[in-house]
Amino acid sequence: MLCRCEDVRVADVRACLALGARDPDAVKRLTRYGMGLCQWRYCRSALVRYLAEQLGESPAAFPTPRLRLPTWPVPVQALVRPEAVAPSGSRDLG
Amino acid sequence: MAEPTVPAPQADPNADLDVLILGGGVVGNTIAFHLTERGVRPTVIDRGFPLSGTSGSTQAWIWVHTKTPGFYGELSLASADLYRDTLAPRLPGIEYTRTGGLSLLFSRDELARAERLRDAQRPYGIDIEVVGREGVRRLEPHLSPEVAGATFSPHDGNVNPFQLVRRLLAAAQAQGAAYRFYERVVSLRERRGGERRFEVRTDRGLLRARRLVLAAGLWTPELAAPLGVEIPVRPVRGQILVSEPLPPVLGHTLNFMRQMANGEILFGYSQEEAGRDRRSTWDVLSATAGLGIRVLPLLRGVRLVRAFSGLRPMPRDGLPIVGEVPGHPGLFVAVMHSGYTLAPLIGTVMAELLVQGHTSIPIEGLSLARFEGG
Ligand SMILES: Cc1cc2nc3c(=O)[nH]c(=O)nc-3n(C[C@H](O)[C@H](O)[C@H](O)COP(=O)(O)OP(=O)(O)OC[C@H]3O[C@@H](n4cnc5c(N)ncnc54)[C@H](O)[C@@H]3O)c2cc1C
Repeated sequence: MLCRCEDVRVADVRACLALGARDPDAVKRLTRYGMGLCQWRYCRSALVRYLAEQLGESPAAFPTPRLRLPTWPVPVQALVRPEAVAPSGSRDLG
Repeated sequence: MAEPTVPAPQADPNADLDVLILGGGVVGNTIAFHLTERGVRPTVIDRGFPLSGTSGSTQAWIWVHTKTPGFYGELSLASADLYRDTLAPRLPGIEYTRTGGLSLLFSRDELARAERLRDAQRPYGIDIEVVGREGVRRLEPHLSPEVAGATFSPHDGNVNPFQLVRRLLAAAQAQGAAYRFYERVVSLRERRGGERRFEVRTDRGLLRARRLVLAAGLWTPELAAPLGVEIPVRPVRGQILVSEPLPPVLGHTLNFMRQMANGEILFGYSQEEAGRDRRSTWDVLSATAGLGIRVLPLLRGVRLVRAFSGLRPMPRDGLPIVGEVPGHPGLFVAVMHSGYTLAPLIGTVMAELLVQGHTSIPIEGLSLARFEGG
């Protein structure tokens, strides 16, 4: 097992490689690897090491991901500021 | 005596490709998949891996009932029906769910507008019911009493965007589509006169194709420009918040919030003119959080696990740009917002167009020609 939050195993990552994926973000989107509560914190390096080994690359070849706000789980209420105005536009856009 | 060994026929690496699709998001992949269903084996090229573009940062509602003008609503409905009748049975695991959709109203004056929408959509086969405060609470007991009403429609739903693209891609690959990932298209040329060919220069070499499909979402305008083709599309940013998984609290797809199969709630609908800046910003996240709580009060203490932001490829008039490019035989385009809602329909009509030269439903209204002269 490589990613505990989302229960992603070596065989799942191997299936991504078979589809042609060659970077951690692609594996993440295909399997939800790293999308659980820990948000990459505990599992990313294991994936990078595995991909590097399988592809014969150096782990440094995989750039670190963009940081996504918020960087740790906070309650929804913690983001609210009284002065914030509702986003504009039609809600029907998706 | 040993049989003489006949060398296996070798594919000529310099041979012209039949169909080359530029862009491997949901749009490029649905076209590739539907072509392979009809025996055509396209090549798909993407500078990254599918889902690195807009298709990886989306809400993925399969949304019908508020889409106007009517013919656009009708196309969206046809696509939702293709999900139910054809695509979901064909590709198990895409998590297409026809939840029914609610478009929320916050004041009583919005009610009259809702009734007009209901009447206008009816001739197109789109069923809408206008429900009041009590009706909303019956359909979604956890919503705040502040919600004054809603339009409800049975046609709306959602899909798992990652699983959809994964399964389109895997099925297309299994049926002979060739994928070139991590290869960037640098420039395009059209060779006219004699045999028409498209030359596609990439960061790995030169490809030639008889037919070219531009499906690079937001990035299509710069690819098409050297061919003298203008694609009026601009980025419109949207920011989304994602909650920790919760037990089922929302049964329907709401037009700014939905609960995924794994229990996470996705909410947000911002529409920002921010160029290609794909960052999340505190002001919008804060407003989104506030509105989320206002609609679904139980969110207050629920933890957020993630925020993401994506750039909608928005055509100038909001409607899809699909079909053969006028004056450029062999050149096709498929660029749109709502690429998830429309995926089965666009895949079907593009495959029809490339295989038979005509489509089973009229798509002239989607042609690039509509922008000519202004
Ligand atoms: C916040 C948000 C919410 C949304 N909600 C919904 C919704 O609820 N329902 C719905 O139907 N739609 C929704 N959409 C819209 C939907 O996500 C898009 O319409 C769809 O993803 C577009 O797909 P695409 O394949 O055209 O684009 P993309 O996924 O961006 O694919 C284009 C591909 O082209 C590749 N590319 C670009 N340039 C080059 C090059 N030079 N060489 C090689 N490859 C290249 C890119 O790498 C990319 O993979 C939403 C969008 C956003 C941002």
